[in-house]
Amino acid sequence: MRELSKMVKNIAIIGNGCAAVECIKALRECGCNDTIHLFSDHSYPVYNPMLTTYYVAGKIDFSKLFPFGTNDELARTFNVRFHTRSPVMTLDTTEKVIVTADGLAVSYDRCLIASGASPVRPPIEGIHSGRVYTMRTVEDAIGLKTALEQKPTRVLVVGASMVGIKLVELFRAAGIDVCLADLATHLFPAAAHPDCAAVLAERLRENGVDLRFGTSLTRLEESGAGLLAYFAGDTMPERVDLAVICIGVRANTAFVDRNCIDTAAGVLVNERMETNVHGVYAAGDVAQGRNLLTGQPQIVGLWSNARYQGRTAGRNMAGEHDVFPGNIPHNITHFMNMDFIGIGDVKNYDKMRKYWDGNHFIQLFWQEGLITGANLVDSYTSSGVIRQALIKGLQQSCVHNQGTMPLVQDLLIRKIIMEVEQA
Amino acid sequence: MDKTIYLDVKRCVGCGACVVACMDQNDIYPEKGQPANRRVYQIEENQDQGIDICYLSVACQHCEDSPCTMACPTGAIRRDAATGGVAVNKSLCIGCHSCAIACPFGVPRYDAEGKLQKCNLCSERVEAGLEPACVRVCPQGALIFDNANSVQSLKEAAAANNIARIIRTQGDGCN
Repeated sequence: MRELSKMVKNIAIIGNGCAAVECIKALRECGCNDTIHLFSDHSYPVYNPMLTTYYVAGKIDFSKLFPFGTNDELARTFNVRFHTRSPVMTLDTTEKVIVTADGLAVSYDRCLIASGASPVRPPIEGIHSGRVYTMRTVEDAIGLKTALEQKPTRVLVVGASMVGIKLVELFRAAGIDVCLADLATHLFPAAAHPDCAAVLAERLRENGVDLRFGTSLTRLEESGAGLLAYFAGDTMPERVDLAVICIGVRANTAFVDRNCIDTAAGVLVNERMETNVHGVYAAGDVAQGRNLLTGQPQIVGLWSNARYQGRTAGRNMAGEHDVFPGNIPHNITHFMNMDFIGIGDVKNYDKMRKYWDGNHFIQLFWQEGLITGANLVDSYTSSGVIRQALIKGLQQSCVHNQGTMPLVQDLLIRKIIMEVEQA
Repeated sequence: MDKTIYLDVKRCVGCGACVVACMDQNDIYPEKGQPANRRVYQIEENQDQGIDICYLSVACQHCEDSPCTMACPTGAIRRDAATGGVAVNKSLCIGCHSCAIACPFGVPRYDAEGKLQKCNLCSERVEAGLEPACVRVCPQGALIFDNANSVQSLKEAAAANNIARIIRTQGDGCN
């Protein structure tokens, strides 16, 4: 085992995503001059997983996958020592040492866990076939783009998620027949109320998408040049050329000693992005911060969330005091010339109101007088105001919380609520 | 960040002159599917004595720590060094609408190509030492182009005047 720079003060950053970059930027902006070591499993620059479908669809060039530029540029700008293709195998918080797969040991003073998340593949027969893809990494994008050059005629997308719907869009745009399947009974099961999902499902069917909900994929079998996909309770398989699995992601925590660092679905952090271990922080899709609606720890896997968390971690690691109090789950996805927006909790409510004029759909949910969730279709202009209202805990009447939001926001949310209430 | 545009809600009468001036300055043609950078909302509220109406002239607030910048997946939204405003590089915009859900003021709109179109703080005018077009044309003086401290001073002066007026008309309660 090689040892590196045990005597100098080191900051170790595990992962090469936007949380890592924001942490590094914050460290340097706060005047921290310590040596920063960044460990990455791969050699690509920081990429945005959300952009992978845009690249596969041909909407952006390969270079646009990397919004922060190259590793060399980052290394020069922020004086960072990159360790690419160096997966971290052990994070020893007692000795304060990181050990990589190739045996490099680096001691650290402070450490950020920003290792992100990886797509989940269900443990079923045939899942590791070469015709089965996931969509998250640069390699995933290159693989699927290459597969599309073989001109598939029918594909299966498993997972009616935000990623799944973007895949459906790009396949349909390429003239490929698509079957979209999910174990859940409707689209966007985590973010959409069934009423809203029904509106979207109708539009998808009009766009020629086959929907297959409420059934689980049980087996995949290569057959000739294609795949046979078997679903529970159905003897006739789907015949497709390839399948893409996008049923969610799991935090990358294999190197984390769960006896030392508190974890649940991810690494648990407080509002300073500190773990329970002094000097160890976490940010991004691996970090489980606070859901502001429930007060419970939850991973909110969003680009902006990761950036805020990374920045907060960096400032605190530099000795400043900064907090990121938490977030609410929220998503917007623009596909097939429509928008779907899910904000907060749309499953638990004691009051619900719906506005639907055939073009615009707004559905608001309340719990004990507070707006706690929203679904919108083709109403993106209201989405930011509603999200802000949820975060600020604005009450339905707006009376009790007057003054908690800037006047303009306060008046805009009143207007939206009045329109929905009067529908 | 130095100056930005503030709205005095009590002064706005919803005339829409700011909207027209913005379109003129920025060559925005609604008939070509180009959305306005600035909009005026009429807000009605039922009060005991009848309906209370106010108007909001809303465009990008050029927030200091702008949520749209943090949400943008491509880096298309950045701080403009010259004006200090929040600017869009349309060549990087992919039309994903992430900025729409990030903006607390419901500002983002998209042009005919699906790319973000928003107030750029009249960068050409501001760089030439002029006020933004909407501010220049507002007949009520409801839109103010200044820095945060100056605007705060104006608010405090207005509050002090209100108190003085009340004392003049109702007395200060002291004998």
